[in-house]
Amino acid sequence: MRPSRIGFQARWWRAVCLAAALGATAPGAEPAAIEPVMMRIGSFTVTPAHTPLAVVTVHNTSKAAFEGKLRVRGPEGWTIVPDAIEVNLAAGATARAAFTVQRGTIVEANSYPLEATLIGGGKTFVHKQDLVCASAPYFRPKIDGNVDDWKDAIPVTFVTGGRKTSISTYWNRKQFAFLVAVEEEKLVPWRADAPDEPCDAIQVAISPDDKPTAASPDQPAGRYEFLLVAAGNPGDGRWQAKCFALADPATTLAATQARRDLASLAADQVEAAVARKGNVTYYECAIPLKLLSALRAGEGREFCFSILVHDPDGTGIRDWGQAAGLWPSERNRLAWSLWPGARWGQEPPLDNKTPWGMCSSKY
Amino acid sequence: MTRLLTSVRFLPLVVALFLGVMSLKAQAAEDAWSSPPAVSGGAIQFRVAAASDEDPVAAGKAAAEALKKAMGSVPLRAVIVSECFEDKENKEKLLEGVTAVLPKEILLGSATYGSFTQSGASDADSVCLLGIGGEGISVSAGLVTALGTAKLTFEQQREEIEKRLHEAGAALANKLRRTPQDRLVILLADAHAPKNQPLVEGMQRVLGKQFPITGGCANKNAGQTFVCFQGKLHEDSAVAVMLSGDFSVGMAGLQAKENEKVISTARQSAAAALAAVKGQPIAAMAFDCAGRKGKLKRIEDEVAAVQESIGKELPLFGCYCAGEMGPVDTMDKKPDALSGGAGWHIMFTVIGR
Repeated sequence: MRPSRIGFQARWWRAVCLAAALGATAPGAEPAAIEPVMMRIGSFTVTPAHTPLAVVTVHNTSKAAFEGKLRVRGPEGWTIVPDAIEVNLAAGATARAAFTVQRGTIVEANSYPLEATLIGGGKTFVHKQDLVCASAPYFRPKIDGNVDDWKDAIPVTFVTGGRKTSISTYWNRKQFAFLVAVEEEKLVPWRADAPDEPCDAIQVAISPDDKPTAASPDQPAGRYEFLLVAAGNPGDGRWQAKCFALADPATTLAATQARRDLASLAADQVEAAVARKGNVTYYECAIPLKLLSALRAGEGREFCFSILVHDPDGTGIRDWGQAAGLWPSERNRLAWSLWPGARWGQEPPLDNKTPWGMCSSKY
Repeated sequence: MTRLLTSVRFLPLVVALFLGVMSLKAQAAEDAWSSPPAVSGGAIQFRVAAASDEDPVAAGKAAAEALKKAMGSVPLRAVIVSECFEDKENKEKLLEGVTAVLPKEILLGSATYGSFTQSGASDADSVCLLGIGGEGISVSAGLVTALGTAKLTFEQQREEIEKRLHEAGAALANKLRRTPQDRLVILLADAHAPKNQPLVEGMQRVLGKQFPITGGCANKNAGQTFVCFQGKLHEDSAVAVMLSGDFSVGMAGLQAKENEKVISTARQSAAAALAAVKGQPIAAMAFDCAGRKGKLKRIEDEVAAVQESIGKELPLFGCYCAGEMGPVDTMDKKPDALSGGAGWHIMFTVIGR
């Protein structure tokens, strides 16, 4: 497996260099976009009842300037202000427009259909997106493989290849914690004695800001990155959990792409548990905030968070960035660390910069 | 015989003592309390003290001693506490420290997400005290418990929330002693935005829609949601403090959710409140949203913006809350009411004389 991984890595190094030479913003940039104007709406970082911002990112992919008027519509009964925002974009430029949900309603499914309409240049562009509230309420969960503590979180669910992944997050004065529920037929554990063998895992990236991952490998990663795997043999549906610290904001992107022995990256201060019930694997984890010092945790704080679910014997890579609406041009191999045992897809994953928030407790 | 005569002789004194005790009780029930009435032309003094320390007793004591020193010989009428210690155990230790120096009976306040003063901002393991003193100002405070809305949601139980909080707000307002010199109510409640709006509406049913009400909602994090009345912690409760005397009030409220706007609205609301007050400003208070604090790239920028408007000398008591009460800055605000309850606001009040 190792030569294949190196070959793959080398291909991406070439892509990185080529993209940088062409002035592309991401090494995974795909051929010309279909629409001359692209839009996406960022996840809410507080619930719709707490007047969140609906931030629309607009990218002009054409070679001419664009002027238009942007509107956002929510589910029935919602009030979103202002009515419209003027958008002026130079050729190739990207801008963001922030609307406020003045009146919104929380739904249990945590899925909110929004529609952004941009009228300009004699054309109408419509973008529909199911938004989620991506926010970590304040709570102190016990990391023990029992998921009862997570009922007051705000689960974010997405489907890849017909299989559900659900992400719940909490924060408190000492930790940032998450529970990832992965629907899968079988859990393949990590083996210290065969680290190159494919295994299931959760890879998370946590960034203090939303600056896109750089295209040049000599730049800093700008993110904290952890890998969570099951290890050993299960007892009563619970596995031994191992957590590895793959990167911190100062790690160079080149280092994230180098072959590293996971055992040397063990993050023993991280509390972790892996449990399985039915066809769902639960990865539970609490990272001490002292390991995330650049995050400046607090109510109302926004940061970036994304996950990759590694399910090599099932769906392959499940990428939250895709469900969050990142554009194909935002694929970037440098956004995620390579590690032995991972099986990457044909395309690199999307960037890890999707918005997330910290909020007060649910009640 | 002798004993009987003695008793008869002392009967007027016993009656007088009994009446005195009854009078005191009328002013200090378990859920209501009032200071002596304001004396026209008497001194009015606001002072602020803050302390940060992982040891809550030490923090409480340090802040209380600093406040006592700052008040000098001016008698304290009330002390408003903004505290940010984790869990009831530490909050009680903090109050233990404060009450080692200051009278327990005059302590009112709530758990917050931190505080700010002219010296800067603080969050975890900090306390800030606002001392209100002088013969020219009077304080009347009330407490309502068992609001019963903490676990209710607007999506599912809107009518029930509004009913309970309208009743609680009215009941709270009715506990306050009323005088012709009533100027401002400070409301501190475990009623996170948007639940603070019906609570304010309930108070307005008694006080009138144009009566100045400001305040903030208690920290709503699990296990932290306390208000403080006469030095005791209460969950699921609200405290109101009526300030009365020969002074004026200027108020302004603005909302924001992004760094630059949080800073500019802090500056603007402070300036607007200052412009609205009659006479010389003597103190400022700001009930600010904890979410706004979270949006700041540098926490000190908001305080600096406030100082651009009010200067660096005016006593400033600020706290970060889970919802704010005051003049609401939203498109759906009630047009006929001066104050309302909302989130994402800085509610700024300047006291002048």
